[in-house]
Amino acid sequence: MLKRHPGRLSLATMVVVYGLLIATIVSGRTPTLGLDLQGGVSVNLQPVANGEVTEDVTPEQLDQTIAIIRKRVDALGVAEPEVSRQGNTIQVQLPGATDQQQVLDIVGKTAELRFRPVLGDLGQTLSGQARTDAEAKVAELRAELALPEGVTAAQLVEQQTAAAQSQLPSDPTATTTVPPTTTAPPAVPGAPATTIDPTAGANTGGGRSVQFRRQGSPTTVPPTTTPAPSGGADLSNPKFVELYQLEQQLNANVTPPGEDQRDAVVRLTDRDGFVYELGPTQLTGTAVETATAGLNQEGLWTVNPVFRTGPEGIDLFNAIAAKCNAGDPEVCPGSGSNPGRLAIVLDSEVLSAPAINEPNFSRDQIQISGDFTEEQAKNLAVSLRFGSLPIELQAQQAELVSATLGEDALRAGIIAGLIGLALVFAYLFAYYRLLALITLGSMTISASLLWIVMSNLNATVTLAGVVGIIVSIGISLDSSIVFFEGWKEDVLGGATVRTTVERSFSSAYATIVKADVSSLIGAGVLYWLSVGPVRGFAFYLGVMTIFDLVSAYVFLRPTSIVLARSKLADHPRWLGIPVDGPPAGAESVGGAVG
Amino acid sequence: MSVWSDLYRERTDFDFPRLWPRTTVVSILLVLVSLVSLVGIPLYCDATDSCERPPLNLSIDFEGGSIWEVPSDSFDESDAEAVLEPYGPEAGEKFQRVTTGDGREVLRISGRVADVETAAEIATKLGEAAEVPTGSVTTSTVGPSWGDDITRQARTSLIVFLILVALYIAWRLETRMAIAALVAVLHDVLLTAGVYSVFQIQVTPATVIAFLTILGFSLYDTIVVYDRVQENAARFSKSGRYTYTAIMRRSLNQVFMRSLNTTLVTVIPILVMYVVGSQVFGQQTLGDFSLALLIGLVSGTYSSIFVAAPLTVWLKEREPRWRDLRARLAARGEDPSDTAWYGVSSSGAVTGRPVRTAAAARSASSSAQDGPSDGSGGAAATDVADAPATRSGADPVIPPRPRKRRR
Repeated sequence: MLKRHPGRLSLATMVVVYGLLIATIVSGRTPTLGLDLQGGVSVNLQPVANGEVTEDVTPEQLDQTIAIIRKRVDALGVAEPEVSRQGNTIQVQLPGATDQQQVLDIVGKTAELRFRPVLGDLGQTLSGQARTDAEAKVAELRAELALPEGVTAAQLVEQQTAAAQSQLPSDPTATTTVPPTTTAPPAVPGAPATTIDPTAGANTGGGRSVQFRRQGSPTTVPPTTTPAPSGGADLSNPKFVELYQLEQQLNANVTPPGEDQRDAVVRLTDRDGFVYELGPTQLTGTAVETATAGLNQEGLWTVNPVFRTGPEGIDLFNAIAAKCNAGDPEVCPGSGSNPGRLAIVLDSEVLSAPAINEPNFSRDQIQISGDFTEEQAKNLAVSLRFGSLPIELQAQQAELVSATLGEDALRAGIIAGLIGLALVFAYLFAYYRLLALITLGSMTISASLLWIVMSNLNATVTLAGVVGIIVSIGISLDSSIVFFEGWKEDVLGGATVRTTVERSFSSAYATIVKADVSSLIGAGVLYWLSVGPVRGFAFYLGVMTIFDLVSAYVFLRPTSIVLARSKLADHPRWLGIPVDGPPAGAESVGGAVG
Repeated sequence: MSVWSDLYRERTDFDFPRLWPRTTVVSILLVLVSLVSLVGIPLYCDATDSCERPPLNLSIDFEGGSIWEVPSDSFDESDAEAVLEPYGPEAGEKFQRVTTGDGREVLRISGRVADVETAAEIATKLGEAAEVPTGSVTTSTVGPSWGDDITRQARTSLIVFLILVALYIAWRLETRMAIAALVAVLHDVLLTAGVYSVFQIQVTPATVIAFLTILGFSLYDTIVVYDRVQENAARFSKSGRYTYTAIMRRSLNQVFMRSLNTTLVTVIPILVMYVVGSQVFGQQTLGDFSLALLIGLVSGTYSSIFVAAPLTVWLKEREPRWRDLRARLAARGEDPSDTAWYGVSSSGAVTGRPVRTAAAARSASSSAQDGPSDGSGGAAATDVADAPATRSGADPVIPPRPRKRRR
């Protein structure tokens, strides 16, 4: 139907394309401006080994690194951070960021997998509304208990414990019953608990059960010291206990990532915000050889790390495992009868904190079990594997574009583009007369398509992309020019405007397709093989070439046919076709074909 | 009528083959000059300093280094030097005052520092010293290996691109055409690189991108010419009246106006980008892009007519089919080196292919072909015999092209 009625095809094209364009504009979607157009910081990092750029990394390692960088960057609070990988290069784009030094500090740090003994649970950190509510509650409780300003509940407990100690120096139970670090609010559900067992021992070894344990659950030890009226606070008052717990939650004092020193006691959170107090690092990911995730005999997901042999591997692990299993109060305290736990920390995030159920392990018979989902188990295994060979990154290229400079560049690009377009169309009108209108229409169609695609893909427009678009103006116009020249040639050769239009178009279109394919090959190769601005340039050049082919077929062709069938075709000069001789001849030709 | 009028009416018949020997010499000379300059032999000496210069004036993006731009009217070179002093003598190598489009002053400093982190630190210090807000000192730093990466990528892209396009042309058109097209592209690459080398224009990553695009343009033009040549060859080879050279000349003339128009409409936006973007608004990147694009475009248009075409002709005339055709023409007493197209000439009662002198051919082709085509009925009659039927009552000077075989 559309083939027979070219008018309908060009109308349909216009309706569809402009409809989509309006829908896109109404929905408020716009393309993202690249860093060089809106200002911000960009860093390109490459993996290095011994100070030299290395190719010796696996995609899995790079992906893990990107995930880590993404997490770090999210903490910066930049609106739309973008971390991507192109080959071995990791590109970090932070539009709107202004502190390049801070960005470099954050993204360039090597992520180390650390094993740290758990010294205690500090509950869950509060954020957002929960935090505001807790703060209000604290103020209320403090007023109710009439506590002095600037003294926390914990300090009061300490003062009174010290007082009790001085009163009863011979009674050690007074001190051990009030370790504030082991106090977790009963209301807070325990962190997901995991255990480390020898896999071999799962069913065969000495009847030890291999179930995971819920570790953080009600092991609360509320302050049970005998009420000491000193300071005017009754420590056994349930309101005081509540205040104590709330304050602990609010003041969890998570160690900032920058201060996460390897050998210090730190407070770090896991994914769900549970805060752990952790001892100095006992061993790092380099001790791990590999790790896999799999189902154990009970059909539960477990992670099986394999440690390296020797003093830097399994021996280090066993040294701390023995202490944790025994619940060494100095290094790796257990709680109650439970053994101590060894946290696996990657980039200041506690991935898992399994209890150590055995004092001694052989290097490839270790199982971390817990209520893992398949995904959790696999992620933990990947992190353990990554830890065995962390990627050291070096910034190879960094750029900070100030917001004003970005705006200048965008404005210059747009003004240049508009002036260029205006001049080009002035020329085309002078040369092709009415046909230039069709070209203008065709260009509008491909420009609209570009805008629709850019907006909906949320593609990034860089300065190089703008240049790519400006350059593609020439390529897009060429399809019209090849067609018009061919048409003109055929008409001058004796055919009529009407009869030859379709033939001229198919002949021209075949040429355009051949030539455009070579452009597409170029754009494709550039896009595929390069990094950064080159890609943006190639992308827009390629996309515009495709849209040009499309709009030539669904708009340029049918509209030209409509034009050729109209009365306008009686005046070839209006189409920029200089048919010499009396207009009467042209009319008679038209009549003969009609 | 003037040449312009002929161009508009597509009645030109420029004798390109006659120009080829001369342009080949020019091309070879230019390529040689480029090569000499690219291997590092200086071709001229500046009045001020010595003749020594690198083959290419590479920007810091290739060698590693930093550029800081401090947007301040008062902050000057000595202030900057004071900040850079602790970072060694290489930290501030070049100082340049730039005025942006809206009249703001920017101090552009380039130099070399140990690493990206140091450069960021310097940026912060420069911002503090100039008393501008954080983040307004534009910084760009490139590690030493980054430039190697760009160069390697560009080289890989170039090679992969050339191979793919050569295969494509060989598949869709002809192997001999693919060879000639490759030579034309290499000619453009060398010439553009030569211009950058001889005039020591700074090469930036933007230049490299633009440069790679140019290859696409150059091939695009060449393919449009080839497509027409193939079509014409298929139509006229059986007539036995035209040599491959004549067909090439005809094809070049047929697409000449298209080449001119396309080049024009491509050059206009790029030229505007150069003038408005880089000269008025002071956007260096826009300037880098457009300059390389302009040089390459001109070179690409030239090479499709004066490098790819003669080389294709040279290769094709050695094919037995076209060699035999030349021999037959000569045996009939005609001049095979006469490449004029008789259908186009409106000189009147041309009923057959006359034995013409070279001088006569020249005058016929270089003189403006005048007037409407009503006098050329005889010529048309002979042409129509070769071509599929024309369906119009008007005097057919050039037979309409047959419907293209689609693949």
